[in-house]
This record gives sequence, C-alpha cells and structure tokens, in this order.
Amino acid sequence: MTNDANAPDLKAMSFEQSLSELEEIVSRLEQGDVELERSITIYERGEALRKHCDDL
Amino acid sequence: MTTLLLSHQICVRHEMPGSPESPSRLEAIEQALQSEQFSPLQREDCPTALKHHIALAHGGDYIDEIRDLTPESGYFRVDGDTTLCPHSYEAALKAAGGAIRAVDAVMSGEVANAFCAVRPPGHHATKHQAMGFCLFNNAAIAALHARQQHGAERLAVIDFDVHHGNGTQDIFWDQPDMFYGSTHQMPLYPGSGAVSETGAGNIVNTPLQSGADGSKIKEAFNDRLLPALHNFSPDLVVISAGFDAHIDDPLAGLRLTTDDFRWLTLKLAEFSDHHCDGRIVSLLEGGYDLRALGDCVATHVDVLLDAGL
Repeated sequence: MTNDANAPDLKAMSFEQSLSELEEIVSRLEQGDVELERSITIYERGEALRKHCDDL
Repeated sequence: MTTLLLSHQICVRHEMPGSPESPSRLEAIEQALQSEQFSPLQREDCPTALKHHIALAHGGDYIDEIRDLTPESGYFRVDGDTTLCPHSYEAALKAAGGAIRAVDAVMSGEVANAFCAVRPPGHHATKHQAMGFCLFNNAAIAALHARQQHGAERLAVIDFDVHHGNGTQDIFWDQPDMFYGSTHQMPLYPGSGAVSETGAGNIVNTPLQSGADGSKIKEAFNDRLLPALHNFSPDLVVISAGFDAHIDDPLAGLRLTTDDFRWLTLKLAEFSDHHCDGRIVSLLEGGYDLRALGDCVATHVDVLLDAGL
C-alpha cells in the first residue's frame, strides 16, 4: 500500500519499481479502493511516478 | 419570492476526529452568510426527516443500521472516511429533513429556491452503504420526495462536487425519470463516474482531468450536461453543491475559481427559470478549504437570491 509517510524516494527507484507502484495506484483508484481523504495524495504520487518513468 | 436557507446546530455537532469534513465548514458558511446582502434570506432550522423519507432512497434496514451503530459515547468508524459520533444519526436526519423541507417549500411556491447548509453530506451514500463522509443521500431523498409527495414526474440532480456522486448514481441507476448529471475529477475517489456509466440512459458523467480549470467545466456544462438536461426536461433541479473543485481545495486537483461557481449557478438558475419555473433545491456536499468554501457558498446563494427576485 502506498503511504505518503513511508513512500520510497522516487530518485532511488528503478523504472520497473516505479511502473509497478504506478500500476498498483491506477488499479486502486479505478476500483475505488482508496479513501476520499487520501485519494488526492495517492493520485499525486501516481503522477510523480508517471513523470519519473517518463524521465528515466 | 425569496430563497430559503436551511441549517441546524446539530449538524455542527456531528464530529469525525481529524477529518476535513469538520464542523468548522458550517461555521465558515454561517459567517459568510452574515452580511447585509443576505438579509432577504428566509432562514429556518431543518426539521427532522422521518423514516419513510429516508426509505425513499435507502432500505428500512439501512436506516436502523445507522441508528444502531451510532455510539452513546465515543466514536464508531463506518469506513475509512466516515465516523459516527453520538450526534451523527440526529444530524443526518436533520440534513435529510432540510432537503425535505426545501422541496416542500419550493414545490408549493412558498419560496423561489432553497439552499441547505447541512452536514453530513450525502452523494456518496448508496442504497445500502455509508461512505465518503456520507450517511443518507440527501439529494436523492429530495428528488424522490418531490416525485412521491408533489407529483413531479421528472427530477434531475446536477452534481458539481469534485468527487463523483456514486451514491446518487446507484440510487437512480434503473430509474429513467430520475436524471443524474455530474462533473468530477477522474481518476479520484470513489473511482466511478466514467462516461460509459449511463444507467437507463438517465446518467450523464463528464469526468475532468486533474488540473482542469473553469474553461473545461464550462465546456462540460455547455456541450454535455445542459443539453442533456434540456432534453430530459425536469420539473425540479436539485443541485449537489460541492465546492471542492476550487483551486484552493486540499482534497482534489481541479482549478475552479469562485467566479466559476457563480457561472455554474447562473447557468443552472437560467435553465430552471426557462424550464421549471426556477425551481432549485441546492444541497451542500463537499468543500474543504474554509475560506474558499465560505466565498463559494456566498456566491452560490447570492445568485440563487437574485434568481428568485
């Protein structure tokens, strides 16, 4: 589960690790498996992961 | 005729510790509606909704379940976002009761339109499930009450909260005479709201991407929602008025300004004026930046007041 407090630093993540976490986030958002209060944080983490994948 | 403003102190006593859906939201709104320009408002306390009102949208067992889960002291967590405190059940009955009173006053011609500053909000509450800060679906109850009690045949709920109103969509899903139209950020909580979700042809979802500004939501209204509403031709427009698509809101990523909410309200007021004698019942849903919430509600109610003159 992605948690803003203990999410790994993007800079240290490989493409595969980033893509895997991004896929998990997309799946959770699509299934509604995310609390309302935290969904924007998780979405923003997904956006950062997507950008990180693009930049690698 | 004027605008009816409904609220109740018990709605301020519903508390979910640490949640952005906090009592201070209603205090910010009360403060924002204190100025002289709002003196023409007809202000009333919400009555208590009766069980048969709630049962229009939710099964009888569901109502009893919420009552029975409400703790005598402390808190009971219903889902990750939604917590019951000792005042929650009563607050939810007042919130739905405000919606019922608003419909009665608007449909009978006693007032031009109405705004309910109530909490808990409602649009995530499905037929059988409380979630996303919501216990009873106030908007669906309002629309279904208008049909049952006032003979309205076609009812529309327009929902501009930044989150999709999955509960209202669930309750209206197979009811072709109940229209649900929504603009919302997607992907975001609760995960539903795709264009492909159309129910019995009565559901129109217009998802927006994070970062979308007023121009995008105006496009969605002009190109999709308003034409669909025109074709549907409702007898009453119920607004699920969430203000969390505001640029300052911490829970989402759309970029609307207070002026954009003026535009949305004006468009719905113009539509109602032309198609259903101006009948609008607007119900508070989300909106978590207190300053933006106060400003947006003041703007929304200002337009409703003007429309009723």
